[in-house]
Amino acid sequence: MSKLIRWPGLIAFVVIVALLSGFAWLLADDLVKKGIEKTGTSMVGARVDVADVTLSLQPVGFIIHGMDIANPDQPMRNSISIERISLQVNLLRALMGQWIIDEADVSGLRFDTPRSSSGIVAEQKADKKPEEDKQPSFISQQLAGITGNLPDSKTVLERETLLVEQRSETLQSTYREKVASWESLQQQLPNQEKVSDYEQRLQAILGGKIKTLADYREREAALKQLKKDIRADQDTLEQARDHLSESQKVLGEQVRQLQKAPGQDIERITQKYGLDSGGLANMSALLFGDQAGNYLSKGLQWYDMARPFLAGKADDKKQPEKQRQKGRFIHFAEKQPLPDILVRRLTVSAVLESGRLEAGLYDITHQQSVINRPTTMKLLSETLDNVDRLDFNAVFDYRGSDDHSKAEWLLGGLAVRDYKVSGGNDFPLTLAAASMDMQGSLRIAAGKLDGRAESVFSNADFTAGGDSGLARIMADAIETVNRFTLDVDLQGKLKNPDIAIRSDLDRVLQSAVEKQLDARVAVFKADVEAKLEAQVSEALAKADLGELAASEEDVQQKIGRLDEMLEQKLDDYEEQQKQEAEDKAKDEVKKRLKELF
Amino acid sequence: MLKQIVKFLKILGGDVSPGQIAAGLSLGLFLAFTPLFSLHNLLVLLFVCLFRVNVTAVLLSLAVFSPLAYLLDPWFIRLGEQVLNHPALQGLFTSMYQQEIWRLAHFNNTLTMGSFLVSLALLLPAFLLFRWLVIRYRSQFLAYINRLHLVQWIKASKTFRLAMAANEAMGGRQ
Repeated sequence: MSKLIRWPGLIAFVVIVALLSGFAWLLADDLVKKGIEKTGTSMVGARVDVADVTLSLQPVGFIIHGMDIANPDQPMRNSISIERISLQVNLLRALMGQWIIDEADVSGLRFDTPRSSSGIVAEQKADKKPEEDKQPSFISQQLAGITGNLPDSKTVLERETLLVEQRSETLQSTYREKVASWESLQQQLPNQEKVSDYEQRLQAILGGKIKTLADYREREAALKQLKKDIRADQDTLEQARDHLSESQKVLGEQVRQLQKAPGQDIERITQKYGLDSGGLANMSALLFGDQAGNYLSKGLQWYDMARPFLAGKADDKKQPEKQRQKGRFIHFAEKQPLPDILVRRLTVSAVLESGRLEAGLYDITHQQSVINRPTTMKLLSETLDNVDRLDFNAVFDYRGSDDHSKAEWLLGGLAVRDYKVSGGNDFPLTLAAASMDMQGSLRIAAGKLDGRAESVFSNADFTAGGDSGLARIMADAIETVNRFTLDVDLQGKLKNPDIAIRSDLDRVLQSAVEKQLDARVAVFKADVEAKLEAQVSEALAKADLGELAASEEDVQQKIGRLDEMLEQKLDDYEEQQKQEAEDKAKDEVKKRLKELF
Repeated sequence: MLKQIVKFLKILGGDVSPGQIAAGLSLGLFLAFTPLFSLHNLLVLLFVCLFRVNVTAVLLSLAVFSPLAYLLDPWFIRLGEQVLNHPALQGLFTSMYQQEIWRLAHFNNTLTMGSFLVSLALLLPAFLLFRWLVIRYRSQFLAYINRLHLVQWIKASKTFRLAMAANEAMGGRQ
């Protein structure tokens, strides 16, 4: 047995274990520091620096001193600086492969602090683009659109397809067509000479006494021929009259349409170029939309970073190539199951300009179903100077099928000071002072947002600038506002939220701007209207309906004259001739009878 | 590494028993295949220190078989998954899970379980194989190897002589 066992080896074992433990203890600080810096940098995309890490034995844990997280967009600024982070680790559980942190404390958290060296990661330097020149604010652009760029009437009339032009062309084309067909028809119409000829022929037939029956029959035949000729011409004249009448009717309708065209054109142009005051209804969205969007974007950015961990969907596969795979821990039933990572309580103390903001986060884990509790968050603000009351509660519930996050908040008496609403040169607007009360809620489920925040600003004091006429009018109007509401609705997707903003500032601004805008629009409309009316007049001058009407009258007169010839004089004469013939025949009969008796 | 190889060649040709060398090699393989910083490997280390296992063979085996472990990890993990999720073993594992000592041994880790079972299964066959190989080497190849120019050159080198001197100073035979 003694050949098999070497007792000094026991001492060697103890020494080896002691040395390994000692080295691990000595190197742990540095390993943790490097680990935080490396992992943090890869997560944030900018440098994460840790000043120092110390291990504590009682209680077992780490204390991280001075952690700076650089802002990837502003390399000389830190997004976050933390003075001290302390973690109390359950050592036994850590050796079992579970990181159970009973207490974690983050103190001296500050936002947007300066850095002494650039926070750009070396490999990102090439990709980093210089900051783009600042564009004028959205409100400034909108104002420019409303005030400075009222379209020139001449340009609009040249650019637009106008009904006036279309209908003028149609009228002229129809007029030319009708006139041409009238001219063609006119060739076939009896002229004045022909009518006089008919009258002469009629006089010849009617003139003198009918001497004999043969004379009568001759005249009768001539009369029949005359009537036939007149009726043929009368038919032609009636066709011409109908043609002229129909032409006048068609052209008259087109003239009426043309006369309506300027009004319709103006209405369409007014709508198209947003010259109606309805376009001003969303002024508050223009004023506050960018800021609200920025706040929301920042909040959702933080949420989006935390969500994969809380939802247990963090990418475990990202593992340096040279490391062995780690497998996974399979959990079996136990009385009080614990997840692989759990922070039971994390207190955060942030240093803001207005004081200290304290937050508590509870049950932070990526395996909420193991402890059957969601991660919760609560903000406390007793030490904030500029807030009377702040209640903020959030729940991040990823335990099952109904995964969701929700937050509710109530903010009372927030003292707003020098809040820059719009930074543009043409309409700089600052809320110099106000007291804000807000309550709101937000729910995020399946990547969709559903939220609402209602705010009331009282004792408001706006200061506004702007040199252009309309900006000055708006500035004067908004400076009279003492109290206003601002409601924000959030819908849509987490990556692409829809923000709807309503405020009773709209009414104030709209009323002020409407007057100015209406006056300018009226001038524009009058200008356009005059130009369009001129086009209409020109088109009407080319389509001389009076000429057609005169022609129709002429034709009608001729028809009348021929009617008179046919239906009155000639018919009366015929009857008279018949009567005379009958009387003569009677007289002749009487005479012959007398001669017989 | 060169030092270890030279040392091992000397041991192979020396009077260290084939069993000690084979035990060192097979325990080195065990250490290489399973996650190094594990509770069971503390026991392996204790075994290596307390029993007359050849330490050089352990270190050489650990260095040689560790790269192989990278390749075999997916299979170890798959085996661990199957064993730990096997319905018939749930009762056993659940009762083990209640005891801290087993939790400290990471028995519920798929890589640890898979690689441990494979290493355990290989331990005895590997020991017997290595022992047979050492005996065969000594009886059939040692004389031929010693005649090789390369071996003679290594033996004559300054590094080798220094290594041997250090080995003598640390107690010679292991």
